[in-house]
Order: sequence, then C-alpha cells, then structure tokens
Amino acid sequence: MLNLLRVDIKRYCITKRFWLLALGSAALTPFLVGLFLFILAQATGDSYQVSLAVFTVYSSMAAILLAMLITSLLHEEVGEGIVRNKLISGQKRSHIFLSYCLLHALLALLLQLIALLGACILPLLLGAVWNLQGSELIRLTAISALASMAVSLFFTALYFCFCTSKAAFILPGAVAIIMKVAMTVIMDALYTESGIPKVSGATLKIYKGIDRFLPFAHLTDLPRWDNASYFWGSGVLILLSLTAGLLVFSRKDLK
Amino acid sequence: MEYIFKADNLCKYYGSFKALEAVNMAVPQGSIYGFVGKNGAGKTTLMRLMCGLQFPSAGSYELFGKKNTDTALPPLRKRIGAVVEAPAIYKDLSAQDNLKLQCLNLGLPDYGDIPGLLKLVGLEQAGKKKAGKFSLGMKQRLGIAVALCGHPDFLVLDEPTNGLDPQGIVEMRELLLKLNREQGITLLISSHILEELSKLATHYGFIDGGRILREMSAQELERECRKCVRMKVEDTRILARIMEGLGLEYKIIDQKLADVYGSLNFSETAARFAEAGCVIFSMEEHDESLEAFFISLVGGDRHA
Repeated sequence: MLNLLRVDIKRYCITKRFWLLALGSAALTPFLVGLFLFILAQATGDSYQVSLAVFTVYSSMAAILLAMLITSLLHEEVGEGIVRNKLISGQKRSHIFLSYCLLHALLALLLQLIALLGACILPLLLGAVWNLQGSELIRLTAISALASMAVSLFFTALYFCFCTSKAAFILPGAVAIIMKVAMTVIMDALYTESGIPKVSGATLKIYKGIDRFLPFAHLTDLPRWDNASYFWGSGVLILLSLTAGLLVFSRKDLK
Repeated sequence: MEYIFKADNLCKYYGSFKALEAVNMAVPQGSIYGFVGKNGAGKTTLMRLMCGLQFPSAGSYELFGKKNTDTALPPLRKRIGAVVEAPAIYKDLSAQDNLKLQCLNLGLPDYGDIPGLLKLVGLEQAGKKKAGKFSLGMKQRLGIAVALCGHPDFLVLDEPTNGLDPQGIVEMRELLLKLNREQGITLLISSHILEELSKLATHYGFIDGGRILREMSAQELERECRKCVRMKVEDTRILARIMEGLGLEYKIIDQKLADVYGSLNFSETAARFAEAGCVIFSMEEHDESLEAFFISLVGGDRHA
C-alpha cells in the first residue's frame, strides 16, 4: 500500500494542475479576507486587528473545496483507467482504496496548513495587529485539520462507492453544499445574538449533537465543545467512511 | 498442454442481461489467442473478469493455475499486462513519466527497462511531449509499453490496432509476434480486423451472445476455411442442378456467382454445363476468409 501511496504522491506532485488547484483552493480564501481587511483598514484609517475568525475562513469553505478537488482528481484517475491499471497490476482493492484515502487526508492536512500559513503571514504583511493566543490558534488548527481530514475521507469513500456511475461526480459536491447550508441553518438556530436558541426540545438536542460531533459543523464555526467531542466525531466519520468504502469497493465491478 | 487461463462455466450477469453464459475456454501457454466476436458479444467482459476488474456471477476461472477465489491470485496478476478498452495512461505526463509510475506501481527496483520499452514500441522520440497530446496510435503504443512493464507472462490486448494507420498495424503485428516468439509472452488479442488477426493467432476463440461458439487452433481453422472454386456462370440455378447431379456441395452467392466445394473435375464440369446450355464465364480457386468463417459460425450478421 505504501508503494501505491508513493506512486500517487509522486503523480500528484509532478502534476501542475494539482498544484494550481490545491494552492489556489487553500490560498484564495485567506488572500480574499486579507484583502478585504486591508481595504477596510485603508477606508477607516485604522490598523485592523487579526482575530481567530480570520483563521476559520478557509475551514468554512474547506468541505466544498475538498469535495471539488477530490472529485476532480479521482474522476481523472478512474476515467483514464489508472485505478483499473492498478488492479490489473495486482494491487489489492483495499490497498488502492486506502491509499487514496490516506492521500486525500494528507491533502486536506496540507491545504489546512497552507491556509493557516497564508492567514498568518498575509495580515502581518498588511500591517495588522494580532489579537489572539497561540494556544487558541493551535487548538483551532488541530480541530479543523482533523475535521477536514475526516471530511476528505468521507468524500473519497463516497466517490468510490459510486465510482462506476455519474453520481460519483456530483454527489460529493452536492453533499458538501447541502451540509454547508444545513450547518449555517443549525448554527443560526443555536447561537443567536440573545443567547437563546431558536429551537427547543428534541430539535435542540439533535442540533447540539450535530454541532458537537459532526465534522462538517466543526469546519463551520469556532470550537465551543471539548476536545474529546471533536476527536470522537471525526473518528467515527473516518471509521464509517473507511468501512463503507472498503465494503462497497471490494465488491464493485469496474469498467 | 499447460494453460495460462482456463474458464469453467463462467457466467456474468448485469441484472437480467447475460453478458457471459457458461463460458468454457482455455488459453494455452505461449500461444497468441485470437478472441473473435461481434460488438457486445462478451469479449471485453471476459477480459475484465480475467484482469480482476469484475467478479463472476457464476462459474470460475483459473489464472496461472490459481482459481479466481484463491487469495494467492491477486499478487500473481503482476504477471499480467493488459490494455482493456482504452490504454491506461496519465495524460498530463510524458511517456517516460508514465512508465516510471508504472514501475513504481509494480514495485520494480529501478527504471532501467524504460528506454528499451520506449524503443520497443517506437516512442523513443516522444521526449517530454505529454501523453494527452499523443495521437491515438501513440497512446495505444504507450498503453502497451505500460502493460509490458515488469516483463509480464501474459498480455491481454483489447483491439490493439484501434486507431493505427496501415503502417502502424504492420509495426504492431511485428511487435506482438516479437514479444511472443522472443520473450515467450502469451497473448490474448481481441480484434475486429479478422484478417489481421489471422496473421498472428495460433489459437482462436469465437464468442457470440456471451457464449463461446468454438475454440480451435490455427491449423484447425485453416482446414475449416477450406478451399473452394468460385464460379461465375450464366445462371446459378443451372449450376445448382449440375452440382446436385455431381453430388458436390455448393453455395450460391448471387444469380451468376457460386462457390463449389470438394474435388471438381474441370473437364467433366465444363461438359455438363455445355450440355445444359449454360455458359461458364470464370472458374478460380478461392479461400474462405476468417471473416466468412466467423459469419458462417454466428449465422449471418456481417458485423464482426
């Protein structure tokens, strides 16, 4: 499997399009935020303060960006017969699937780090004043990285479960967008200006459960729960994605 | 005789559609097995099963002496090289980079074979040109070079001459013969160009409607594609009467043309035709082609 991972990493590394897509995805959001804050500071004449919220800009877009990136890369791999060739070359289906999962988890981590770096450096270059603690930044980065890795594994598994149909090309992106909308609705309902949630009873419990354990929610807003909740939430999604992906892909007829 | 591949009542169903139905076939070691069938006959499905891309619905097969259910089979697949449907290549990489990745994929220790492989398939001049910009023929050659990485014992090629120009077809034929004769690679080739296949194959498998109609060696096929005399006469109805009188088998092609099988005494035949008042325009020896044989086997439809 490590051999396969080497092949995939090498293949991605020597592909210009991959770097364009990956770096573009990770660097665009902090850049846009930095630019926005810079323009704001110029307009008001004040130096602006960098708060933790700047670092959530990439995370809040991560699920959609990862869905698009992973789908685009996998679609090419499957469409051009690369996955087929790996099977013909005697690689086990489980190894092929796990190698892509690991690769995309690493990709998610890399993008998260690039986005973090961009969000750290850019405001400083623009003359911003820091207004945050290092420990907060580390915690936010760790939670976001874990959640984006879990989400990337989920998208990889989703693609492989439907890899012989056109649904594979649409599903990850569609799920990411639906989740983004759903998470926004849930956050709005849970965290109001008055501090009183807009929902109550079972709905409130479900919303809180989602906010606490679902990695899509972890990418939407600043962390409010304990570390264990984030760990278990992402862990369970990773486990479910791997199990479902392995079960389906190991029995799937490929073209 | 040792066999690289053996199918035993192999079936593959897609819902209610029977893509393969009780297929029994055997590919002898060292042979060039020509796999002949119409579009949708089941050739590619069988190749997919063989390469482990799909699973049988019923029946089984053996590859390198291991059953498809044997856990020892997947590693043995490294001894197969295959180009099924389209060549599996990275379009944004050069030919050399494609081969490097395949070497890595197979866990080969170095890239020493790459220049030789590129030369073998005639892509040594491709340089840094990306595979996506290759012509169809160049992509086909690169696909074969990728399949040849790691010195496979068994090469499965689905329509290898697709997209090649006439010179490319000749070069491909020479390459495949070289691989078989010099490196002892067993080849399974499906092709629509049956005459081209007949210049290569040592064994044949004819498939139609998911069933193997016939398996035979090239020698057997040669015997079956028997010689006949093609006669152009004034009226083939009179020819039919005369041939029935002589007890000879014949096949009417049109009102003036017919094939006559068996030993024909030209003088006696000419005398009979003169007696019946029917003019013979020409008589010439004629071989039944592989295509004609295939059509007679599947019964009609000229779409091989």
